[in-house]
Amino acid sequence: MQYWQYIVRRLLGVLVSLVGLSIIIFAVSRILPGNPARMALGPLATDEQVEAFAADMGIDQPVWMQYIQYMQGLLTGDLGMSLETRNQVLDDIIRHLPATIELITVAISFTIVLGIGLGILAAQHKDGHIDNATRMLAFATVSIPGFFLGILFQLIFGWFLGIMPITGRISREFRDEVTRETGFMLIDTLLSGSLAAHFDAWMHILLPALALSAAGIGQIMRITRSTMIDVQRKDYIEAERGFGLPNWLVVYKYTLKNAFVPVLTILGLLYASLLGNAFLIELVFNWPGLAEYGVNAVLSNDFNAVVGVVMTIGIAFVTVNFVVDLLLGRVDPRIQLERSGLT
Amino acid sequence: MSWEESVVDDPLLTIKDLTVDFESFDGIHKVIDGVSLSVGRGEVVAIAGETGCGKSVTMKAILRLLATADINGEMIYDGQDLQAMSDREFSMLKGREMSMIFQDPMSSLNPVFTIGEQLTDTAQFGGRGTTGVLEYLKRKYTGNGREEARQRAIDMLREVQMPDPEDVMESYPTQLSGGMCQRVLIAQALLNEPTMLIADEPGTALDVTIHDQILTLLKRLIEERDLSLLMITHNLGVAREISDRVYIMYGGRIVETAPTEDIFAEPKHPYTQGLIASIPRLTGGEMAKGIDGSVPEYLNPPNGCRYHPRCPYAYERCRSERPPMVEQGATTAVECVLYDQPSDTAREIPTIERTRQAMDGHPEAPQPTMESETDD
Repeated sequence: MQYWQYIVRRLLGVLVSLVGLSIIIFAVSRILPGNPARMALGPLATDEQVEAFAADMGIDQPVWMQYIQYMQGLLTGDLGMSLETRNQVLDDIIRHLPATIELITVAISFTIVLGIGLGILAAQHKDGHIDNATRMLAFATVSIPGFFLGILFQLIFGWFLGIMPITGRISREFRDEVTRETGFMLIDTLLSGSLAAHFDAWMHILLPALALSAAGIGQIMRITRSTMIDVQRKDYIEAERGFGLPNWLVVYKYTLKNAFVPVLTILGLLYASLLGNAFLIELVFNWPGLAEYGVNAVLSNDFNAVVGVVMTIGIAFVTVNFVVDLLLGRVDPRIQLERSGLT
Repeated sequence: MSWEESVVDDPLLTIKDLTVDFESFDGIHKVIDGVSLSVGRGEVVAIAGETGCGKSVTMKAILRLLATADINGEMIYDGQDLQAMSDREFSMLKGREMSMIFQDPMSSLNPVFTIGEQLTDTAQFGGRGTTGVLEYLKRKYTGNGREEARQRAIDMLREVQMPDPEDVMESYPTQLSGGMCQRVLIAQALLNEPTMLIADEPGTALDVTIHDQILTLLKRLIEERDLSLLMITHNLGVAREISDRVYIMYGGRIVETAPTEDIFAEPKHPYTQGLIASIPRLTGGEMAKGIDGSVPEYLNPPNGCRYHPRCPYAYERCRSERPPMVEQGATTAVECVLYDQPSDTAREIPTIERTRQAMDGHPEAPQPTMESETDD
């Protein structure tokens, strides 16, 4: 099997997961209690109005008809209309998604930089002060829930110290300066040419991103440390030292790349929990992302929107894991060779 | 010690009274207990002994690869005191003057880099002190230093008789056979033209025909490049085939040293005799018996001679004092009290025939004579 065949096969696997996901989401969204048409129209609407609305939305049809319509919609990108906002669900998601992606991207960058960096540091000073300090830090970050950490950050930096904004993506005074181009505030502020607004956007994203990434930092730190120590005991590392290669080269090139394999796998899994945790963090920091939209959709029985949000998260998760798989093949040739049968 | 280790006139490497201790939760493990040896220029020296006798630890102690061990003693390389060197000075020597061939070829190559990347890095940065990051990036990506180093690696692969060196450069270790990995490791060790090579059982992990090819290759390289070789082996046949002189090691001590021919013709230490008597012979019916027991533990080693619990000639004195190294000629010495006894209490001098009798359980074989078995 060639490597491209392996990729095609993995892609087919991705498709199968997505189809499975769509079925589960459909089932779950129809199980939600209450009459969605009644909830959407409110208690004052007459029964005739509710029935007309239901017929309009197609929710008076038998379940299997609904499923066919739903699948047609999914394949054409038409997720239907939100019962709550009366917008196309796809448009709503496209408007809310960038804020969430931005938050998660910054959070995962923190996780990678701080987690791997501190992990290497701890491994290099095994059982020293730095190692002990990072161990404490890891315990703390893994055991404190992200949303609680978020509230703590708001209290400390927003209230007592008063140096950080605690909600939103940007301060009021910059809101008019920034024209929406991409929906990513950090990029839009730069496109608008306002460095002050850009800095302000960073100040806003820092606390939620830190709160979101804390647990991951702890995990990645510990995994990096233990795999680094593990790899340093390998014969090939001793051999490289024996051939007189400089110490930093042995550590940062020859050891680190080996240690990346488990770290990368964990990072892929972490991404999923980041998406989940982001919902809580977004609520705490009043971050106008997918969470706000998704939570409202669930509470108001807006199942088209629920399906859209969950599907988006599912696609993101499956895609990230696919990318991680491809990256693993790049980092460790053994994985690639094994899977493509070239060994 | 009554015998001064100076068997070669102008030694390249001299080690005197090397001790290596490892500390664990259980206490101190005295793994190497006063090893002295020397390697002359252009000489091939073998250290032979059972698995676990401290051979590899000795090598690693020389190359400073034991981070957690407590190492004492004197190590002189080419007139320089290795112990007194700073890490920086030592890094100029390691890999360039002294290089090492590692034991297990399959696990001694980094699995996630191509052979080419590993060899080229070694050619460019091995044994060149502490090259900084910027210097590394500069030399790797600008100028033609990288290309030259790569070419040197390919030439070296050709010299170790690697088929298709260009293809091998692009391969990962998992794509190569054990014999090819071993050749890569030999090439890597020789890339920076060392004067002295330390080899830890090269080829033992491979099958016999490949092992033989590797030894032949090594012999040729030693001659062509006028290398000094210190080689570890648990296989006396290998020592006989390749070395000029042999040290027999037991329980972290050197128990006998002699020119290779002499040690096979007339082994003196009961342990050496046992080892030689254990070699299976093609003629003569029965399979040779091994020496009973195993190498001593290092946390609580036996008192006196560390071999006495397994020695058929052992008597009280073996347990009460550490035997001296007794000179038996210009380049021969044996660490055994039987060769250092006052004439009035003369005991039987071990011979290989008598040792073989003891191993076979012959009725008239020598027996250990101890008054009590209580070791404290």
